[in-house]
Amino acid sequence: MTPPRIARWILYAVLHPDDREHALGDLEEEFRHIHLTDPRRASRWYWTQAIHALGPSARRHLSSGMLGGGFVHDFRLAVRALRRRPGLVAISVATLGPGIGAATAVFSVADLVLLRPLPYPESERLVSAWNTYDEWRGHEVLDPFWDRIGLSYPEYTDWREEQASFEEVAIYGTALMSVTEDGEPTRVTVGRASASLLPLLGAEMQAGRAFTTGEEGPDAPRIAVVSYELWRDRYGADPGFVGSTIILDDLGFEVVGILASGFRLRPLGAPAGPDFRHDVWIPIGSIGETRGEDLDRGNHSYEAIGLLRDGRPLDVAESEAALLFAGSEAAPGTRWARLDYRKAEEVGGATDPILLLVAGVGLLLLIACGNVASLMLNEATNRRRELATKAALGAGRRRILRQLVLEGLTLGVLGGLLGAAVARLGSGALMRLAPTDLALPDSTPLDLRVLLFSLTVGLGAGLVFGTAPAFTVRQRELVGGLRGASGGGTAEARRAQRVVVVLQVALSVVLLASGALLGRSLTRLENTRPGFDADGVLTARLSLPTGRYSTDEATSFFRTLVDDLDANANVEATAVSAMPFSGRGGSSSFQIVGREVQDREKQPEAHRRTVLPGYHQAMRIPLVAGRYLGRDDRVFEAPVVVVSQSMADTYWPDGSALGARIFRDRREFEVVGIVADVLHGDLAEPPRPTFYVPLAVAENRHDLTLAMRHATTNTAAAQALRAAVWEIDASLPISEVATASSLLSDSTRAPRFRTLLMSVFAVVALALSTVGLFGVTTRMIAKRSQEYGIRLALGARSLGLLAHVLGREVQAFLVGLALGVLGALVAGGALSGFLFGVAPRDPVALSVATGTLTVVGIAAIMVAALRVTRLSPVDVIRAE
Amino acid sequence: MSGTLNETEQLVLLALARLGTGAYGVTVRQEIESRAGRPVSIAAVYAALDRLERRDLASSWLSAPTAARGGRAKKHFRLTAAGIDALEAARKAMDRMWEGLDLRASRPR
Repeated sequence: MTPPRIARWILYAVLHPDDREHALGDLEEEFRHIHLTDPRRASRWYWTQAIHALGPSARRHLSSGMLGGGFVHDFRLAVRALRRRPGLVAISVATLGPGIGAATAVFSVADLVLLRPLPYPESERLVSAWNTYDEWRGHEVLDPFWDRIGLSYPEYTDWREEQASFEEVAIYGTALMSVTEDGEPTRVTVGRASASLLPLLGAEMQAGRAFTTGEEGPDAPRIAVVSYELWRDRYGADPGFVGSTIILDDLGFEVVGILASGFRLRPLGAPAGPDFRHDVWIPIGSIGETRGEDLDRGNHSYEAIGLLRDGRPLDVAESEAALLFAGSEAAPGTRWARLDYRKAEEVGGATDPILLLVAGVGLLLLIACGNVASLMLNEATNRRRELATKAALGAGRRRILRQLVLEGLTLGVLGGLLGAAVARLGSGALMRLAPTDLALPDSTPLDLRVLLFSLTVGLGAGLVFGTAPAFTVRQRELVGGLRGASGGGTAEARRAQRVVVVLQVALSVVLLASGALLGRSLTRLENTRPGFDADGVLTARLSLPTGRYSTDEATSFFRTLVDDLDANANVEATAVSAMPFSGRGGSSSFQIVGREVQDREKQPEAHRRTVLPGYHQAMRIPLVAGRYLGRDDRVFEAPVVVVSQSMADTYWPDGSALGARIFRDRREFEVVGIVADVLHGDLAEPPRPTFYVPLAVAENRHDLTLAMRHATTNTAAAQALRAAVWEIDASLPISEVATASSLLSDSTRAPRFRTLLMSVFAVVALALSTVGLFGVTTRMIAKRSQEYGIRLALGARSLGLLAHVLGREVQAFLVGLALGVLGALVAGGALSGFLFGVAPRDPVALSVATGTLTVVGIAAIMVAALRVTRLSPVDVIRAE
Repeated sequence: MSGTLNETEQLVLLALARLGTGAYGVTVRQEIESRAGRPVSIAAVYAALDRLERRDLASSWLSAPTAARGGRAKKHFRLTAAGIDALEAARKAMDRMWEGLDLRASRPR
């Protein structure tokens, strides 16, 4: 018959010490009384009392209570003490503010990308599902995709019918199409969705309806759901829009609904920028097989998403999916499924880069705190007389410590506020610089979470440098402080300051070395040759509507266009299915004649590019053997291909590539040439085997990128291109206009961003630790000027004194440097995933870091130490 | 702090007046709960008593610990003369506010 123990413990903790005894007694008495009639009600009642005690007790503690009385009073004292030291406050806040600001800006990015839930109801139960195929692991071309193969439509319907792990599952694909009613033709992003997708994501409708069950598959009606944004921007928010017809690639779709504003779904398969949005959703199957939409079991092009049942383990759902995806076709053990939470999939590769920044900014913040802690330590020794007076007047040690901590906290809050302001300015810039694959909005509102983060960091920092001096204050010394103004007792504070400096130097080495490593890696990356000449090349994507252009008409369109452009002097035009570094591309399986493989999934695979003859010459891709594609290669009877060096080496290691025959698309091709390798999307990746099919015999002839090497300005070239295109077909949209060099430099945007930020952190760290070294040396000399003055009076030489001072400080510096080198070696290991062509323990990066810090650090100590030579013994002794 | 009483303080002082020498945490809390129909926690009672004591509107003394209380002491409370004055002042203020008032007449339709 005793009260619930935890509730009693809570009450004990929150009740005012003066009331604890009798209040607990009262509660126990009443508890026993209730317990006689209804034991369960008694426990409930006791708990209620405990919870209700939290409110009033907290108020009492603040005004008078448990912190020992006079919290508000002490806070006022702390503020008053700080107001007497405007210099200290200014320096501390100015040091902390940028540090906290940087930390907050990085936090706001981390928060947006890593912490916030996706904008769908029950988003924590949203799961992505993929096919996996073990044989592709380690494959030259297919390795990146081995565990992210999409679903085909029949796989989806089987899965949906038989699964029991999800409340609902859905698939979708993304395509570009042209809308052409009236006005300028526009490329729009079209989502092809199963009927279940929009309801699964809890999409709200501005007007009309989403697709309903059955509106998908082979008999899908031609209906469309339009995004709020397209409805507003292209159709002027026409209130009668639902029920009207839009023309997509020359097919009419009836609009049945408009999505509420803001709805978006990021495709996982392709890079999607922050502004990515599907403009139109149409049912899977509504384009029709004749237009190239095949619903075969082999077309694994849809991304799958499911809403996991509450409490259903992911691995159970995964085993179930594996069984259902495989169907009866696959050999046992070759196919599997991979399920992961949608949030993790969307964040994907962004986690590590963000954690890198978090770590970097954390170190920076520690260094900044070090400077303030050092200042506060010094203050504590300066104020020994004040503190001793307080102690003599009856203030306990606890009380004095509390005031010091409160001063630290107050400084921390001020720094936090400045930090929040800095973050507000900084995060906008950060987001604009950030690589687009992080999918960040251009700016974040300075919301409560971010503000709270700043203040928490500030308070945490304040606690650190508030308690640091507190630990050096001892009761015994407090009394001693009243007797003697300076001397002996401050040794502890000085030692603490030196420890701070050692740590600052060490952390700075880590940051500098990390920055240097990333910088060297970036240089290596940017000096990597992509295998083609990107200078002066303008590219633009042209996608001919399949309804209006037959395959042959598409071929002649591109031929005519390129001929027209070539007629212009100084222009060399060509076309390719996927420009290197455009984020596009695709691979095909093929058969080597004489070495046929029956199992479809074990057939050789390589990147396939459709090109106009002349592509390699225009892009300055050197010929290795044989010949380039020629104009006559359009001859239907004898199709030819050109292969890349890596493809020749991979599939014909004996050097017999030239003259070999490959088979694909029911047709044999002869290899007539070998060209040098071209990197396709990532400078850090080795080249992938590629074969080039001439346009006249390729399957895809509608969607190509035009590349134009020119000698004028990009604007003039773009104008010439538009004019040439629209002269042939005025209703053709031209999209993705870019220069080849910008595509190339966009590919290194992420490492550039990381390197830039880490370098900024490193430079600020260097500045902060220099200030720290200078300050500590200066204060040390000031503290011991009496001793030095006497030494000088006794005949010591100032140069000897200088050497003495330097010796002590440089010693501490070197300890920090050594610790830093150890730290940098560890940090290098952690960075290895970000490095390209540089070893994690790169001696050059390490020497740059230690060298820079040594030069700057010793200079700072030197400048500060020179004061000792200007000491005049007479002045010093008189001052005492 | 001025001389006015908030509602909880008034309720606590009135409970002290009603309970006389039997006033301590448990009885004060129960008196307010049963008579005013107002659920109130022991912490709120003690917070109010603490304020009242510091304003000399109530006084207290401790009695010996008993087993029924888990071996804890009991704190008794008593109304002081100033407490009675404060209660009367509060009552008068309320009475003046109520004087001649017919709420049914001023209820909005």
